[in-house]
Amino acid sequence: MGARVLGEPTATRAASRREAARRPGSALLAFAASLAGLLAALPVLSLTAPFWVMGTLTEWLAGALGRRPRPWDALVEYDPRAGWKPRPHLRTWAGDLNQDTFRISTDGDGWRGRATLDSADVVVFGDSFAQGFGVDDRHFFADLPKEVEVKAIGCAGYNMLQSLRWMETYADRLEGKLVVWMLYLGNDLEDDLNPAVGRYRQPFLRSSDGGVTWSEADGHVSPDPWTASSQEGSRAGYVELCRGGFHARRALAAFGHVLDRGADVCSAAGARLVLLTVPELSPVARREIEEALSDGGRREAFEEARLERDIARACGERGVPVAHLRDHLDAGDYLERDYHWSRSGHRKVAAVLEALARKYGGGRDRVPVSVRGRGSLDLEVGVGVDAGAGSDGDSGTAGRRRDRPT
Amino acid sequence: MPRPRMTLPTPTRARLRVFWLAGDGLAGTAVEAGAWRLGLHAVALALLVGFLVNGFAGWLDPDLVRPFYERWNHVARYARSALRIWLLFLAFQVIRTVGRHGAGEEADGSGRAASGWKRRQTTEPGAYSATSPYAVPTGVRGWAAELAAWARRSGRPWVLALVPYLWILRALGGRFGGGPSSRNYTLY
Repeated sequence: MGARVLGEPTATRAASRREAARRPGSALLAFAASLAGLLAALPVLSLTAPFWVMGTLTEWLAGALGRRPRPWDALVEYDPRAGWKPRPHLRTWAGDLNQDTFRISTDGDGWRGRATLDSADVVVFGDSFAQGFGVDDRHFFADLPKEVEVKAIGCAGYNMLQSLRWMETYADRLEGKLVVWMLYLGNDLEDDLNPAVGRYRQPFLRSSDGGVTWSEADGHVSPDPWTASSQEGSRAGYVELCRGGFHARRALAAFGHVLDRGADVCSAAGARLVLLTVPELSPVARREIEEALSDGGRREAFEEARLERDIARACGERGVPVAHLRDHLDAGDYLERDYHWSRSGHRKVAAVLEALARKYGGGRDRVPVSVRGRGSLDLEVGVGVDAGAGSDGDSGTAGRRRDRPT
Repeated sequence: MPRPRMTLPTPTRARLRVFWLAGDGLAGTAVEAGAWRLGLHAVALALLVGFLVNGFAGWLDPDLVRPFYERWNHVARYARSALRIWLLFLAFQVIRTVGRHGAGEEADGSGRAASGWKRRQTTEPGAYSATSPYAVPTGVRGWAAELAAWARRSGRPWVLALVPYLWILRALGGRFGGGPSSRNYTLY
């Protein structure tokens, strides 16, 4: 049953076959031409043979012999306080954003590193940077310092409110310790305002009076996947934070709230709080920032130092010392295809932590925190100088000024 | 069965190591065989040590390999483009040879100024799937089987002569030239 033809007659299958049957030599001709063509292609194919061999071997052997990272779901579990936390007693391989594998082990509480919370002089709270995402256990910054014991409590994707939840949970074990709160400038400030990261629900901050007062929202936190649209803070969001507009003012107001809470927790616990900012220096992040800046005149008013100044001001108002890792790290201290630190980055961070411990307490011969003065913004440069005298030979970072180009 | 590919995949540490060891091993074997055949036994032994040290260094620190990996891939991409152009040219010659001698196709080579377009035969909307020789019968999987089914249904068995070219072009992967952007709404 043929379709009604509107224009010229349609070439039906039967007609095509009849037509082809009238030219039985066409297939033979085509195969002869194809053979001749393949012979002509042989020299070029031979010249490219090394590329075929290396490309195929590299893909195949790396897939066959390489380790397969465990999926993210297998590395974390639901936690009603923070939304999720690393699984305890992990001894496995995880994958970074480039699917490079790294060895990750966790203790009975799910935290990485050899030190225990009780034996530690310095306790670090934060997100994936505090978790040491991207490097093997043996290169993890918390296990590198010689002078002090460091315990890191962090997990990939955490915002500052989630870190605060753990600070509160462990408050009665922080007495006399130096608490270092890592603030990843790339997305932590933005994530404080997001109810979820992907399908994972997280506590977040909200304000109903334009950012004057803030409340912590966690009624939605459950093991069920978050189905509404959500995403982790992006480079576009970071660019907005550095432009100082409404978005930045709102995020910084929320930051002020969470910092107040953290300072109160540490003060009540008898611990000393120091904020440590983690800059966006990885090559992959810089490329993304450049892309975001090229989108519609955003370059105007973009100033990364402004964000760090605003954070330092907020810390100064609360008497919380702040140190900036921008003074100590450069692009070479980050992974080539991931946002996180490389081994050299971890070594430098370990040196910075030792320097902070020397300056603010902590360490084998630590002075009780209570006799130390309150911090001020002047401490920023002091930390930079001290960190260069770290014991692992990273003295090349000594005395770096904050105003150097990034 | 590994899928053949000409360019290197995204560099991970495992791939950097494999690339270095495979390259070192292949080059080492070739050079060693040559030196041994020429009777240069002392040189062969010295080179063997050199290749072993070289391979070990790359295995220990894959970041050392990264610049070599990227340069190799850079050249591989050029080689891939050249091979693709050559294969497309040859495949076109096959089609043209058949077209000139008549295979049911109606080439319009009336002149350089001609558009090459012919008036489209139209059918009632909704009737195309019933009449089109391009429709793939159900149950056929894989591009080669689809092509074979189409060649049979449309009465163009000569098209199967293009399969070796299509197979290599498919293995080359990537996009050819600068196709229209997916965000190019002016096409619609």
